[in-house]
Amino acid sequence: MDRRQMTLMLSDKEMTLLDQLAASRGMSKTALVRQALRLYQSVTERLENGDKVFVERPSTLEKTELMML
Amino acid sequence: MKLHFTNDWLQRKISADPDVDIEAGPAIDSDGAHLGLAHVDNAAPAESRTRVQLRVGLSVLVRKLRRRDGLSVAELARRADVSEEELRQVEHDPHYTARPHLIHQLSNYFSIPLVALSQMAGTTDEIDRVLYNETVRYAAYSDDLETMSNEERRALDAFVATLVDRAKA
Amino acid sequence: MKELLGQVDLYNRESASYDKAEVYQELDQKNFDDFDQLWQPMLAKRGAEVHSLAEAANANVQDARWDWVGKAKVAAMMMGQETFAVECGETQGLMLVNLNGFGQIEVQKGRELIYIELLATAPWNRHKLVASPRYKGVGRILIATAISLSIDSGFHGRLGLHSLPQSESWYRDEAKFTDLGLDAPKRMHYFEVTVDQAKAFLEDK
Repeated sequence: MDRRQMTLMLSDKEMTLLDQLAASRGMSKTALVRQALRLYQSVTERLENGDKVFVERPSTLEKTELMML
Repeated sequence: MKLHFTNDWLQRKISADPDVDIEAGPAIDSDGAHLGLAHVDNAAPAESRTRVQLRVGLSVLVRKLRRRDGLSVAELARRADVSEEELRQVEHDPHYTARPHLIHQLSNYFSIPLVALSQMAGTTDEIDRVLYNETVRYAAYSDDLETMSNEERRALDAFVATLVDRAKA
Repeated sequence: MKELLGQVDLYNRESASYDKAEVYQELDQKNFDDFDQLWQPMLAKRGAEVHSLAEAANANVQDARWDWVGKAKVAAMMMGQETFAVECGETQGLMLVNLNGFGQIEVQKGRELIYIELLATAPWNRHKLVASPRYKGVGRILIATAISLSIDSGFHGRLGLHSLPQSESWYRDEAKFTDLGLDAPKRMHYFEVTVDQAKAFLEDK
């Protein structure tokens, strides 16, 4: 598989978040960024097709629509 | 990615495995309809495969044309005067048979010959083999990029030209 | 782009020896053609002979209508899905996985896992479909490939899958994956593989 490189400039806050997420999810930062891309494509594809994406609280069955800014 | 097992491991494990077919997948419909159990017609599966391939091509084509014109599904539905829900089904479900009205409207809106779109939608019995082959080829090698590159546009235009030619043939 | 991941040993029952097979990531026209022209006719023929769901499970023809072509093309466009093939001359096995799954069992609740959406071996390899199945090992190769992808994706080998009825005993007793029981809406048993189970599965013991 061909690979390409990019340099990513992140703020201190963003970098801290990336470090924390990678540590808590037990993944490398690269693996985490790749997974974020997958999830983002999956969600935005649905939104672009007019689907709605919801989050549900199991205890109350309360549903909130996930709004993309 | 790399495979995290060796052939030594594989041979050892395969020889110890019992004779069980190892599979995973979606559930069976309650009436078994999706298994095609009701019809004893060996010719039917091959034909339905062709129809599904054509519909995949139709869904790619409609999505590409819509994105070429910078339209959302809702916007295209409004302009072409078709049901938004049905348009979405055409774009994403290769098992969905579009109603003739929608095909007719899209044909007018995008100026694609009705006979070509009808074949791709499966609303006619006749199938032009050249159109079929071109459709499968186009669908197989299309990248679904949000903004279309010039190369993508050229490929889309060439495919549309083919559909126009085949309609005349 | 279709990519060769490696050469693997596949057990040829007829010659009682191992043939060299290839594992590929991403499908191409050869795999679609093999499914259409080689798998489908056998599955359709056998499917026409059975009259009930239980018989279908017994005859192992549930996947006669899986739209591999459509699903594989969507997978090629989505980063969150991958397809795999085992080839030995013809296509011997196919698999479609989703990388956006999350674990449900307590030890890995909410943790990333690879969800196997579809895994099938060619009809001529299935002992429930033919009197003399040709190859043994396709399913194991694909499960090990899914675990490999899980490791390389940073998920440490975690998997999820819904088992077809005829495969449950292998997942539970041979592979020793966790059986979460019947998933009622899908009417199939849902299994998960933990980090430890994935490690044990691939261990050279």
